[in-house]
Amino acid sequence: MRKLILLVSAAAMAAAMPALAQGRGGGNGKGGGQQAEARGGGHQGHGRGNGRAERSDRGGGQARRVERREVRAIEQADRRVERQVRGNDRREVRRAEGRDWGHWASGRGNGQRFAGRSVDWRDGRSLPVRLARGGCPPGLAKQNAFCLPPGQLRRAQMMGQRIDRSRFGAVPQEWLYRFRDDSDFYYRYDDAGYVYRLNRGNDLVSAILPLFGTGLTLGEPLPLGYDAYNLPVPYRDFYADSDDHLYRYDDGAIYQVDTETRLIEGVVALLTGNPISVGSALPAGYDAYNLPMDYRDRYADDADSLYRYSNGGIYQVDPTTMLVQSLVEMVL
Amino acid sequence: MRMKLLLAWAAAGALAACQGAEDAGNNAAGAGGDSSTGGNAQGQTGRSIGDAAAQSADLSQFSQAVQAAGLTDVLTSVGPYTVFAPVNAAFDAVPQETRTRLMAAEGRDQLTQLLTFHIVPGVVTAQDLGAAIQRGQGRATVTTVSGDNLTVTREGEALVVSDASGGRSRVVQADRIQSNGVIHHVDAVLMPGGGR
Repeated sequence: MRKLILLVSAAAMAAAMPALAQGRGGGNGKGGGQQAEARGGGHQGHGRGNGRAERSDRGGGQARRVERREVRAIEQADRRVERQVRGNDRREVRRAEGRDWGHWASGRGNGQRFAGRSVDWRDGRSLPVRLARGGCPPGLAKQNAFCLPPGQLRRAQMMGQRIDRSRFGAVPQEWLYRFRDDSDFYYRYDDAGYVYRLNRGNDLVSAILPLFGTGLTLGEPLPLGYDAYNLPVPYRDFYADSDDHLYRYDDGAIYQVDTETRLIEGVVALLTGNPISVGSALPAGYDAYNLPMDYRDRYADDADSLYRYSNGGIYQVDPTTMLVQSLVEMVL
Repeated sequence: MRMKLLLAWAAAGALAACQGAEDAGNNAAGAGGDSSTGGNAQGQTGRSIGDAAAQSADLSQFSQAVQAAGLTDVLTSVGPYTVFAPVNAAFDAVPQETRTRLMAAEGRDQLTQLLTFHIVPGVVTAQDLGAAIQRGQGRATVTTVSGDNLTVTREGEALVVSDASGGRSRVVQADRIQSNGVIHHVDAVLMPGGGR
């Protein structure tokens, strides 16, 4: 799984630079990424430098070579992923009760929250939409064969480029276990949430890896962007930050984090991915009465009202319209 | 780690043997009445879902999986949850290769997905399901904490839980009411994500 994620990282990152990064790219001069951008071809929209973006606009041969390299890097990563997936498929697949567990476990049959992340990554490689004809969807800028959010172009254009690693920062201490220089690669950080993997022999960027936006993974450091306590209100009394633990909400789960090491220790609560909200129709999946035992005497279904539990609250539902009328009690 | 799991498994088995009948679970999972008129279900214990599963001989593989996925704290904390817990025979029916992959560190995300596909928010008893099936003219839908839906139907007296791809698991022991929810034992592992 980890290998698969890393394999697609280059392609995914070339495309899926989160919008968050766009606002952070204009750093303070300390960041190598900022400097590299200015040096290697800053983004016109930020009024810094003029390197690749400008060259690209000029339609020069060098720009086209950069573009071809960029496309090749993405396509090569794609092919590696495809090979891996095909390899999985070739494995002997035994079926239990007619179920193709091999297919599911290979990652093709899922794509949900939590575990879907690997698949999301794989799917992410197609994020730079290849245009058959015509322009880009609103908000995306056409760049060669791809449509990308404008802010993503800067980093996308750095793939396959030679950069001056001395102008980048060191990888944050908590991530060194994963991104430490080795015989093949250097790892450098741009102070904007990205680690750049450089081929040791030629300093070409072979991967750009985010330290945020990848979700929370047990055993790994809390990514950037989760500094603030963010738990849903009903859960705050149960899981408050302390000297020992931090608690952070992400993607339907509440995670416990070691305050000192900032390593994600575990999941302590799961919230439904299909919540009830007042004023809306009762979502699918709430056919059955589901109140906690201690509240059943107080809120029983009758001809006038249905009651359903969701994420710490009990909601009253009109049985005729099936609209959620009110939150009658928080039970956590 | 594996040794710890094996030891835990052995201990759990011994505990379960001492316990005899587990909680107040009903082997007849049909229960067609309407519990939504209120009233506590029978047999509520002070144990959490996680503890009860860990001490159930027939849920040892499920409990190991919960541990491997890092969800132990979830099932021992506030909840409330309804867990359709596959019995050991259900896990045995999953290919060994898949099980090995899921229990490995790199399979943890997928294992988490698999397990959360069997967890429903709130407390849904067999009677609640029976009533919902009745209202729904033969079927009821319950949403899982993974955001997917499960379909519940009745076959004779038994409740049958189905996933989106038609996989079916029968409730073989219902209504093990715990301090933070309820466990229903099921005889097959459901497959998330509309897998084939």
